[in-house]
Amino acid sequence: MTRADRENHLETLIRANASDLLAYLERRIDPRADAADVLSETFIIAWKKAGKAPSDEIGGRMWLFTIARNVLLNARRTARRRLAATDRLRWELEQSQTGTDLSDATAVRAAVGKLPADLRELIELVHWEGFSLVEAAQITGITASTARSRYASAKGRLRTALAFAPEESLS
Amino acid sequence: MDEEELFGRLANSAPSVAPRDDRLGIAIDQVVTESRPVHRQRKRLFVAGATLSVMLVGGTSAALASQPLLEWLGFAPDQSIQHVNANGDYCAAGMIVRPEGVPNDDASFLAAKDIFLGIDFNTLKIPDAIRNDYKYSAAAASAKAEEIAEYNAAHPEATLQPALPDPETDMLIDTAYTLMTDGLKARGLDVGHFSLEGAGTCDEVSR
Repeated sequence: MTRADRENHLETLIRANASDLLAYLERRIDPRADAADVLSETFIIAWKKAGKAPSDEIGGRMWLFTIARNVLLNARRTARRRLAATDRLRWELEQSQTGTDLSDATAVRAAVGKLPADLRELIELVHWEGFSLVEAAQITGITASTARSRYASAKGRLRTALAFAPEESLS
Repeated sequence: MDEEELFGRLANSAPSVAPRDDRLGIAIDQVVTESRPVHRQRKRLFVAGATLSVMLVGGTSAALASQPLLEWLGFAPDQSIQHVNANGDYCAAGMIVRPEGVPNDDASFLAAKDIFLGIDFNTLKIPDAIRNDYKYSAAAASAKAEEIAEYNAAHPEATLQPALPDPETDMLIDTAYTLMTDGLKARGLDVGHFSLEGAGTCDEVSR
């Protein structure tokens, strides 16, 4: 594959996943507009690593989310590079209205938020972003068996929390 | 609580995100486009001064480009040009139209290639706007030579080997590129779906 082929492949990959990557970041960043900065940084890093992008769509998607996750984890420690277009995306995110959450959603989210970070991240990747447990393990850099163990633990904790804590007390 | 209920409640607990309307789509698209490295410019010119013992025998088709030129270029050009420059050096260049992030059957790319193949470089007139552009002026050439000299003075272990200036070739490629983008715009097509890559050499040996 020539460099031009690799770069065209990466651009196709990025375009196909850009909206989902932004959603992933929107759900984890406050204020939401800051997701624009992390998204652009994710793309810049992806381009720097273009030669390492998996050739298949699923592998490429996992690779991009792994980069986004790492940028997110480092977001508070590093100065982010800005693209001019980032400002427009920030503005669009600031202007957009989101729906009002149902009270149960708020309660469940609070229960998820009380989980240890490593358990919480798996639950969010699987149930908010739609990844399989194996894919979530790949993105977070753990083995599938570890992911299964943590996921089972997380589900048990959530069942307990949601069964014995009325939603009113969680919200 | 059974698994189905738990999963349903978890899925519904995902924080909402901005509606995916056209405006947001365009904004995302612009971030993607701007993030692509600068070296992926739509037009790429590369005129090198490497000596190449080749003389083209006339015509402008790829079939007339000699094997040494093809090997030097690294691609089979859609068109090749040759002329004697102001220094009396024989210059040859090959050009190729490439798709940029689109499939090979993209309408804009195909139209760009069609326009390019229809250009007769033997009769192509370079417009004054291009001929008088600063980047082709003696002052620009002098400034570039100074930059190279400064760099070489600072890096004696790895000096730059400056290309022999051949503004005529650059201007011809620039003119072709302008004809292509103008033609696409006139048809309402996307000028960002192709790149025009050119590489050339001026050869004192074959003069």
